Amino acid sequence: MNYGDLLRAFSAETLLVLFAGVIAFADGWLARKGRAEQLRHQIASGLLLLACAGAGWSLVRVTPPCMLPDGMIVSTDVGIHLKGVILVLLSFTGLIAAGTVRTHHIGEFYILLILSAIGMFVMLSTENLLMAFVALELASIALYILAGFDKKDVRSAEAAMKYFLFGGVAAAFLLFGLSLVYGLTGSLDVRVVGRSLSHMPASPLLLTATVMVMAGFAFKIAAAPFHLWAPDAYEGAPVSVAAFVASASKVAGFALFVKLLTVGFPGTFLTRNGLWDAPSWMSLAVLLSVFSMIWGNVAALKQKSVKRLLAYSAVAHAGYMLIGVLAAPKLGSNALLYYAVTYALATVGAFGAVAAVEKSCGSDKLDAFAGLMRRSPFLAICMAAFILSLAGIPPLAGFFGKFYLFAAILKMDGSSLCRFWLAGLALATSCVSLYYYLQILKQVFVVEKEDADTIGLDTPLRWVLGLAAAGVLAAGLFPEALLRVL
Amino acid sequence: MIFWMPSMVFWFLAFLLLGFAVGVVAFRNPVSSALSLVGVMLALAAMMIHAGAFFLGAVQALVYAGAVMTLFIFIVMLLNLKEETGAHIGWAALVGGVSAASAFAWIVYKSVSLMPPLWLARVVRGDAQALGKRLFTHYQLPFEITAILLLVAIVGVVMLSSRLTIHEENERKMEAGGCSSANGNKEGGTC
Amino acid sequence: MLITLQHYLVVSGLLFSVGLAGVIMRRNLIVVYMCLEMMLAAAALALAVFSRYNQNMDGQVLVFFVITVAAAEVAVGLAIIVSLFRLCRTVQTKDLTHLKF
Repeated sequence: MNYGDLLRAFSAETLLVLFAGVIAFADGWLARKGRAEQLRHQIASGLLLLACAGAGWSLVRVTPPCMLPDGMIVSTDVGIHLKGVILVLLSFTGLIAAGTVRTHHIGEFYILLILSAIGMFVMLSTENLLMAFVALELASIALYILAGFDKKDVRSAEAAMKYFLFGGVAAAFLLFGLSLVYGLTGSLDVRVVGRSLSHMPASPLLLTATVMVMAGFAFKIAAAPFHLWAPDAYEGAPVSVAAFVASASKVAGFALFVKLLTVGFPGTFLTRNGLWDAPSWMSLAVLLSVFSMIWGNVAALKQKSVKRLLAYSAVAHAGYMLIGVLAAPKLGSNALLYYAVTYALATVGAFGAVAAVEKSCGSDKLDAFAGLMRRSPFLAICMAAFILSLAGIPPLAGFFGKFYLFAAILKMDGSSLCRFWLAGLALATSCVSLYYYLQILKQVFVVEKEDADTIGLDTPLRWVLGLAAAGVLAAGLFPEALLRVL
Repeated sequence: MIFWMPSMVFWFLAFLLLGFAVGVVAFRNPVSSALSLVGVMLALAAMMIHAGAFFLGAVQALVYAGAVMTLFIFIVMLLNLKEETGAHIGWAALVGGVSAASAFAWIVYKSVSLMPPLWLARVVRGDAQALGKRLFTHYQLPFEITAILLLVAIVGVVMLSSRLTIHEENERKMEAGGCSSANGNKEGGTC
Repeated sequence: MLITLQHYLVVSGLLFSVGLAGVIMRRNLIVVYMCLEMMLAAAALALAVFSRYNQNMDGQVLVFFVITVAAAEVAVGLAIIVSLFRLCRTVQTKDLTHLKF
């Protein structure tokens, strides 16, 4: 492969970096001219949209499916489609940010968003442990900084600090686990790792490696009991950043996780004929999934802040998605990816709605949503679409996501994973989750609020909400179309 | 190159390394902790050299004991941190930390000691040439990604640590006053 | 007694667990960072030794990247501490109470 091919394979990423540079220069020039911050926001977010459009175009037209040696870049069709999803989420985040982020470093905000998205791009297309580690850190470090972007607000700094501390510990665990994997197999290429691990007898060192890799990833995807950073980071960070962390970083994290586990740890057994006859990472994933579903849903019940509520619901959804990870080796990962993508769309929309309410009321508590139907019918209806999709109500995408996941786990053979119990628990906790989702909708539609003024939505936010709601509805009405490309 | 060294050196370095590591955790004064960390990193660099990774040992010593530690000391001095008064480790944290650490150490020890002894090859390649060749051929792409990572770090550090403008400072004071009375947060209180 | 791979691994594991203990126990954020660095360094030691055991350079290359990433991470983390200190005048974990735990 020569450099021309390499450039074509990396055209989307290259375009994004170039646009980050353009944003830096344009914003610096405008700032020196002393232009109003609103104008700078508009120009920077406009350039971000342009960058997303350009990168999307180059993904469709230029990037060939290619493979570099050592699994450094393995770009597949699914990976390219997921990159498109990341671009959509990035542009939504940029548009939400344009009206809500309080900072004087406007250009830097959009630049860091773009660079973080590049990290996610690489996560989606690599099958090399080294590259995966570097890309994961690139995405995470940019997100730590973004979480602390509101420099006047101590809660933002604290959110960044907690996110950083937990992320750092996660990186250390992941790295130690990866070093053991490398030591056992002598390669960083995930496919070679998978081949040599499947010939290897079960060893305690391999089990330690598996546990540490799983723990590191559980931190990153906020699965209980490693989720403690998530509610604080979501609550304190600027809303648009929380939306990006909850949506794009989760999609990329799960895609990398499932690739690593299905390709790299295919047949690693805990004991040959003991309690579990499933691969050992599966029993760990079952534990994480059960913890996340129970803990996330129960903790969400008593939240007053909608952002914290969405954070705990994110933990619960991570539990559901782990069920998809379990089904992935046998049945492919498209049920999981469908769930992740529709979840990301609904979450980014819900955070957008929270951003609108918070901007006009200064609070994200449940009672700030009271009487939303009267104050802004459009916002209320969009919010209803997102919340109902997260809850999994039929015509919307969330229902089909849950349906495919539960069907996938029931289709699996082998009784040792307690698949019926797992599916039953997932159903039961989904019913529990209805309670807190309906609490929000009760505030929006039923509770009346005196002296509440109407909420004015600025145009970009209106577009984000409308498009995300339409996307959630369309993915629910035509699930096959989305499933086919994932 | 044939590599051989008496195991005494290994034991000496191991005790030095772990002694300094315990020092980092135990010292009350952040500056003492930082200096212990210098010791840890130097001992680690020596250990890497002992294991045959000559170039990495040198890089480890330069980057950690040189650059990163300067950063730590600089921040400690900048923030003018004094020796901590009162207990610097809580009881619950002590129990939790020690038990987690010993559990982890026990797991690693057990899983390692169950294996037959694995001898290290006597032929060692750890010079700059071998590393550089691999780095700039196979691993060139991650190398470029690291450039983006460093860009992120530069932009972020400059943004985060730049001083608040007077304008921002005023806004912050106004908001802090407004918030603490409005939603009953204790923002104004502890700051 | 000759030194085997296991000796290095045990030292690396011990360094990792001392770092983990420090992260859990210490209240001073800067010291917590130092312990985080020790955890990463422990993984780096294991990688370097595994690289010799496996007779290829990949492990050492990964250590090289780990050093870079860790340096960037420390710089960002210390900047976050500075921005927190500017608002709160504290570097103690127990004062991180503005978000309800």
